[in-house]
Amino acid sequence: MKKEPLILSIDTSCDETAAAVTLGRRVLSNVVWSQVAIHRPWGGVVPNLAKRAHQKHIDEVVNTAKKSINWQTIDAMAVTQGPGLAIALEVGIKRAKEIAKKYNKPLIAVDHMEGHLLSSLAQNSESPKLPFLGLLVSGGHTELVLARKIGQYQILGQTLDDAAGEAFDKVAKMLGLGYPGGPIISQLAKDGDMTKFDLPVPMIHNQSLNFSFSGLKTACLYKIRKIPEKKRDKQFLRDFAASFQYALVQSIILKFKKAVKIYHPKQVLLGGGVINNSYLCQEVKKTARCFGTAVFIPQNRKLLTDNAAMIGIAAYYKFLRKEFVRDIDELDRKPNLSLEAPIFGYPD
Amino acid sequence: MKTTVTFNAQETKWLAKKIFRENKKELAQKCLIFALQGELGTGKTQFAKGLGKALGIKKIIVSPSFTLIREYPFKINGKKGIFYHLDAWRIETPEEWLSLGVKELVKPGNVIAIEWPEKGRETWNKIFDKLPVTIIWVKLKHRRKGERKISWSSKK
Repeated sequence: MKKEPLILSIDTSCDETAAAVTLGRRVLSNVVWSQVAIHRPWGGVVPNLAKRAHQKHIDEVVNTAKKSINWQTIDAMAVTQGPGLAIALEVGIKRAKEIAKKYNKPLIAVDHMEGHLLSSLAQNSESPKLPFLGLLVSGGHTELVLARKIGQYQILGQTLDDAAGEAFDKVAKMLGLGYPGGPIISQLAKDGDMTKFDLPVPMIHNQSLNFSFSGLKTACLYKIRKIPEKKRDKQFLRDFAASFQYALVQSIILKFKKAVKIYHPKQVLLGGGVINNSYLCQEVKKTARCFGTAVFIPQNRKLLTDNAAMIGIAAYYKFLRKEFVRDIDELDRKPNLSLEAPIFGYPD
Repeated sequence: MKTTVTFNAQETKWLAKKIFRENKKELAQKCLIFALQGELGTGKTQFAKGLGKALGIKKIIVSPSFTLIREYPFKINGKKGIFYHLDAWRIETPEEWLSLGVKELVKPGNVIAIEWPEKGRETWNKIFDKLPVTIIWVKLKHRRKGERKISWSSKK
């Protein structure tokens, strides 16, 4: 049997310093140094703090991921080129270039979102059947992606304003809850009544596969304002969280269902941190089951949030296609990188 | 200072287009900056969408909260420029913006929309001092449901 490529990957796109070693689709190590605690007081990621933390921890993270593996046995170096925070991306790219040059390894530039898209293929012996539909929901993105081939993607729908994770953060902020908002709201929602507050399901009458969460955010603001602060007790928070989560998830499911109906994917791949939301995950599985479509979910939580193992998986396919960076010195960050230029109709 | 009321997101977009047209000629010599002040949900991103529309940008203008700076190239009357959409919510000091390369964005013919500029009005004045800019301060306020009171003024 042909030997699978051994790849060392780095991701510093946002607020996690990450490195991983993958052998084909097997994850040998997946190290993440989380910066959440650093950013919590600010209620969001602060670029400069992220950059400094990346610089401080990158060597340690890379060395831990690489551990006992000999440089000689590594076949390629991979790094996230975008999308993400410009000054954070730079740190990983710089380090990856240095390693690639020092040890004379080919370098693979990876789209962070392709990493999320393919993250469920890690530690998975089954190959996806094409075409597959990707549902990517994270702090910075909400996308429906169709893959007719690995490496060739069509964005069927995306958010027109806030990403789903951003909506969670912003509503959590309105409710005076902490950061990040997603886990706090989904925890509260578990004991809440989702029918208590009548919030609009966004984009329900819109024919496209796009998402929009800013209207829901504003509706939440109006609702919260009407309730005097002294009445905002624990049960209010639970009910509000459940009602908000319901509206947001239903809007995702609506578009997801539509995409499955139109494109008949053989499989569905989930990715991104918000997939950790168990209500969303359940609803997606339920919907896919109705169509007899199998759902691939990343094997563990670590593969859902930002990590470098998923970059290694995307890099593995690029390695097979021999898509290496031609001139290592020329490789630059691309903060606005997209899996493709959207080809659907534009709203208004 | 001019003031008006918009009754929905579409009207906020139209207003953005109108304010852009009023100041369009500045682009020949200056970088046009829209400082969009307003709470969560007052329509800052809608305003930016309206600017995008006025500039003929086809790409969807989305919230810049994740990457802090989003850029959209445009061409207007045969002249190329770039529309930058910034989120200043988490940025405190001029140094932080400078390290993001904000000064390099300021070129005649470019348009910049900044959300949450009020957090560092002095910061912005410092950054833009001596650069070729026209700053339009836009204030967006919630009124009744769906309604926004929007006022704006320009300073050269």
